[in-house]
Amino acid sequence: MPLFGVRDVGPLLDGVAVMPDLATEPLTLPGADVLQAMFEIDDAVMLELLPKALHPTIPPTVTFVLWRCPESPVGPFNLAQVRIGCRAGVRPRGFLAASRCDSQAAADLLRARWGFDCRPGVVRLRRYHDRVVGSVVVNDETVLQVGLVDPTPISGGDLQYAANMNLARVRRESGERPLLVQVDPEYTFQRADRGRATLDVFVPGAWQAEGVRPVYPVAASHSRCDLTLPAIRFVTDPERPALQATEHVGG
Amino acid sequence: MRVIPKMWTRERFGYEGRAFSMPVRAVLPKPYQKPHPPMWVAVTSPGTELDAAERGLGALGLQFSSFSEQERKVAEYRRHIRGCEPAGEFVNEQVATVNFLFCHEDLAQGVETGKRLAGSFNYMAAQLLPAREAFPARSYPSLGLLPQLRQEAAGPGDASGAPEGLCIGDPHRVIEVVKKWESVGVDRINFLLNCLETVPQEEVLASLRLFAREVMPHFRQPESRAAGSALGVH
Repeated sequence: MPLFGVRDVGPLLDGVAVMPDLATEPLTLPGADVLQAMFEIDDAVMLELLPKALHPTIPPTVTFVLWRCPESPVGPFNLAQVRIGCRAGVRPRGFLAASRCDSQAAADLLRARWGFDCRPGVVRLRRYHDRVVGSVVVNDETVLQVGLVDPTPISGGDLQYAANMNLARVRRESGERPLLVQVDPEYTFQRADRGRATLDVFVPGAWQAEGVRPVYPVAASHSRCDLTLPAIRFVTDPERPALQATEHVGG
Repeated sequence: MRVIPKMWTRERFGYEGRAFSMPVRAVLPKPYQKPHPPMWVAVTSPGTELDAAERGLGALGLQFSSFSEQERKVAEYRRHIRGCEPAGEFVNEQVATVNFLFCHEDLAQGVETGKRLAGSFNYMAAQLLPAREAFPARSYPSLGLLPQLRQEAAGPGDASGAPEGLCIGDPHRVIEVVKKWESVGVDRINFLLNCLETVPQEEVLASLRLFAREVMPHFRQPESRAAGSALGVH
């Protein structure tokens, strides 16, 4: 039988986003830079990282995703995410363990409309001729430094970014309840590179990812794109299998 | 690819190439078949069947596709293999595909159990991490065997409710489907019979016995054999 996560989401709920509703309109962020680095992780804890709704991937992975967004209605911002590779039913997804954002206004927007938890942090994403480096500093401590080295140009069409499953407290007519909110951005690529993934610093405790131990760098990619955050289409109960509990928003 | 059959067929063999070199030596063991076993290429990505044809190799299809798409691919394969430069001692012009099999006297029960088998396989296969999801590259235009099987097995169905091309149902439907595969040029079908014991073993065995009794005789006729039986019964 398929494996399911066993994580109790109760302790996470204090820090997650509160969404006043699910009536989100799409938002395009032009000229965004996206760094994604995937690592295989020790499988000893893979079930403890995911809510009961989700399956782990085989092998288990963690994905670090950094966005540098030079334009948005609330000004430029940077966002860093730590995601655990998973499946919602048969769909490839990334469960958002935690995210860090360097703009209060952007954090408010992303929390309310797409369910990113957006804790504060100094997020940086820089591209050099031979590497792309992303870092996150919290209270003067570097909690993530991840990168791509030896970039090789590829087609944006070869990139595959799995959608997020963001745990949030959602206010609905029936009251507030925890839900996994599917966020599946659309990307219009201008350029893309693939390279080796590097990880110099990762503090799992800063990302609600205790026990995550990256053991093998799989691959990294960097792209320049117009990134469109979508309308919310699907949500699911974190405690029940996604195949049974997924709900079409507005449907 | 071209070196391996020489290792099989020559008493002593040496090689100097770009990728590897080795002094003249005896390579053991030699294969039982003479001159050597038929050589196949596992085909998942579009176009690999043409790479196989150009080398005179069988196309061991590990992907599903619609009847019309498969017919086009087989025709191209056969067109290309006519001008091949064989990698082995002989040309292995054969096309194999892969399918699920569940055969039952009752059509509805056969389809229902077959769909459950395919669905279980699909669900479990989806938990694996395909290379394309982890490593962005042009080299992986196809998701590979498992995701493709998933997509096809979840495709539109016929009046019985079974997805097109799946060998599930009663003997009559399975015969029809296999004949259809034969008509588009497929020589052999590899069947997936069970997944995680979704189907009890006695039902799998009953399905196989029914298949042997009711379906296989339809592909033993001389004209079928001459055309290359889709069941590979030779």
